[in-house]
Amino acid sequence: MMKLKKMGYTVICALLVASTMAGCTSAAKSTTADTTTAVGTTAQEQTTTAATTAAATTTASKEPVTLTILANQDWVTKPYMKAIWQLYEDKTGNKLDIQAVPIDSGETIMKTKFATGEISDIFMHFGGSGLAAYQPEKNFVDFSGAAWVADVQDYVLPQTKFNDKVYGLPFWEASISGVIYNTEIFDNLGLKMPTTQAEFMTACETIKNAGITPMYLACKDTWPLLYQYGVDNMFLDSAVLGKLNSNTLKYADIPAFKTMIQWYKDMADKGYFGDKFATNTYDGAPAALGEGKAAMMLSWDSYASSDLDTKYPGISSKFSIMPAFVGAVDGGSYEGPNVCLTFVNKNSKNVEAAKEYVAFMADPANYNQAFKDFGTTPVFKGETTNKTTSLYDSAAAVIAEKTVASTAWPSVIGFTQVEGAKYIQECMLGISSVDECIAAMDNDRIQIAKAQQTPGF
Amino acid sequence: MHLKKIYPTYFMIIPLIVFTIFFLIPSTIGYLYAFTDWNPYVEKIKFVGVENFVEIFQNKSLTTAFVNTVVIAVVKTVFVTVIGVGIALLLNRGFRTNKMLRTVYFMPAIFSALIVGLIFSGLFDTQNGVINQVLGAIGVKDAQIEWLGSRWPALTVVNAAEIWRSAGYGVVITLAALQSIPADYLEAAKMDGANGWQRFRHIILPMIMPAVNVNILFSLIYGLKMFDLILILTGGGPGHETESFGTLILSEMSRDRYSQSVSINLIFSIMLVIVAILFQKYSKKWEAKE
Repeated sequence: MMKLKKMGYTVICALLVASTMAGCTSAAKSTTADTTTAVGTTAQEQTTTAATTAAATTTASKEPVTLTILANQDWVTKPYMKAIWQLYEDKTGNKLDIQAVPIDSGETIMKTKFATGEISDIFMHFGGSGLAAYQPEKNFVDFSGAAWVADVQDYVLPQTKFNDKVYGLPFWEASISGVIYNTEIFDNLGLKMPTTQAEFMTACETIKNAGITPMYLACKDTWPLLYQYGVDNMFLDSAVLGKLNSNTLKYADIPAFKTMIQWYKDMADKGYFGDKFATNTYDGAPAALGEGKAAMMLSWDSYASSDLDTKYPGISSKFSIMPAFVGAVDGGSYEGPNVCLTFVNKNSKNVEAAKEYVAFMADPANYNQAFKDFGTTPVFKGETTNKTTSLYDSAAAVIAEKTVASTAWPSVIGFTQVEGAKYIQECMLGISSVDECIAAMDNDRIQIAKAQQTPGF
Repeated sequence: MHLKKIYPTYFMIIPLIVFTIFFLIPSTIGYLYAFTDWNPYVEKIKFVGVENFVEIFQNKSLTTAFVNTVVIAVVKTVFVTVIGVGIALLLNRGFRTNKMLRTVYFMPAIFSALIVGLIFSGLFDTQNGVINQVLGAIGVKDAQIEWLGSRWPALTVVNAAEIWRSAGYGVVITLAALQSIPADYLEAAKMDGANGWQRFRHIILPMIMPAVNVNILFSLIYGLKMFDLILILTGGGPGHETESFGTLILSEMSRDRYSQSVSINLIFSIMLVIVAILFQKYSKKWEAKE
């Protein structure tokens, strides 16, 4: 009897230990949450019937492989991404496991995964200096010698590089960013597209007096402040950019930077973002614009078709796009394309299959199918099936004249879209002054540059 | 043979080993990163002494987070304790629906922070929230209050959500203590002419103080660790106005300042331990002596 009891106690102990250890997870599909990080979500792309063989330039792996892709939740819903993934699975028989992380905390989750070595086979991210945190040389395949590099548009190619090497395939829309505006509201109020900062502010006042919010700003979500549209203009001169990136110049030394922050403050104080803009969310933008409650928004040309038309079919025909008048340049400017890149984890056990996946995406036969009738300027030279958006067409001449390359994101070391915008939020709400805001943004940028061991910092 | 005495010790060995390997050692090693320059850009981590702590104490956000965290913890503790005792006293009276009411009061405790956050986001939404609509309906001028758009209103909403979520625990713990009070004590006091308040003050409260102390301690600790509701309701914003220690730790990580994030975590952990020790030391004075 005593022996039985002993055995029973031993079994119970073993079960307790086993249940304790069951809480531990290894890498791969699930995203583990601890108390200080947000939880990512995993969506499984199911294999459809894999009947056909791969395209001519792509050789399929002999046995079906499941490739994991880590990406921001907003990116995985893009129609051309869904199209290429479906095409890939149909033609190769491989599966894709899409691991989508929340938009607002995506960067933190992705960096945490990289820091813990939990790197997916394929990774999606925008290029430029922000890529440094992911240590491209250590983690990503160098595609500098790939055949598809010659097929990438010249205005896109710089974004694919890090330290002069091509790491990412720019399979993305090439949208033009500025201020999208409701032409119907403008016409009803007798307004024309502004050509100067003063005209823009006058237009805002007129729209406000008509009981419409001049510009919808999704302040609560922070990233839609999109202050990079102003910053782009300040560093077009590579000498100035060089000084900033070597710590011989600061944001505080640049008059246009102060004017830009002041613009956000003035717009807030004058009620041009609406009375209650602090709690506006990005999800609320389609309703605000679609129902005519707001006339403008900082955005990009494809937003109208990808986001507005889905909720208010046909409404994109009422919209056009003007330069972003954010105080940096009197005549305003458009921002050229920012493209999200697809990287391959060079230390992955599926690296060859992942490289084939990238080659598949870069095949003109495949990307033309994915981008068919999608409103975007082309990223690839062989891209012929896309169409430009109605917003782009309505302002093509101005776009050609006033577009500047995206500089802030790819080239300013220490630039942060979200963290920097938090200080602008505080300034807009009167919590800090313009100078305090700029000092805080400078401090953050310098801290990141120091962490990257950038010379001069 | 003292088998009955040594079996509890045997049972403790394995959990202790597991606890040491999977919690104590990783935590200790984790805290060592606070004294390094750990970030995503460096291959070889260097020891930097207390440099991170010096930098952190110069950060304005740390003061904001500290104040917010303490306010949330104190307000939550007071309300959860008072509400817990109040509702428990009511439920302790034998009336028909008290068992159903116990379930109702405890239900918010089973909701995840995400659900609670979304509920309160909806309730306190500026344009379409129920609270603002009710205020408008009863004639409050400018009833479109931006509850989540500035510091103190947002912290009020966070506290309201947290109190609603946690009050059930307070009720259940206090109720269990109330039900363990021998009825004879109360009857004897009644016969001696003690009124309701006197019975509560001199008999009930001292006897339930151990449970109330447990409530206070848990509320304090969980209040100080407030993270999830703030993340869902405000994200620590606008700006950094509603940051707590938990969200500040995440914010530092988001800025690639991993070692600074761990430093804040270490400071916070020490603070929690001090609070717990001090509370344990002084709370015993409030309990009834046998």
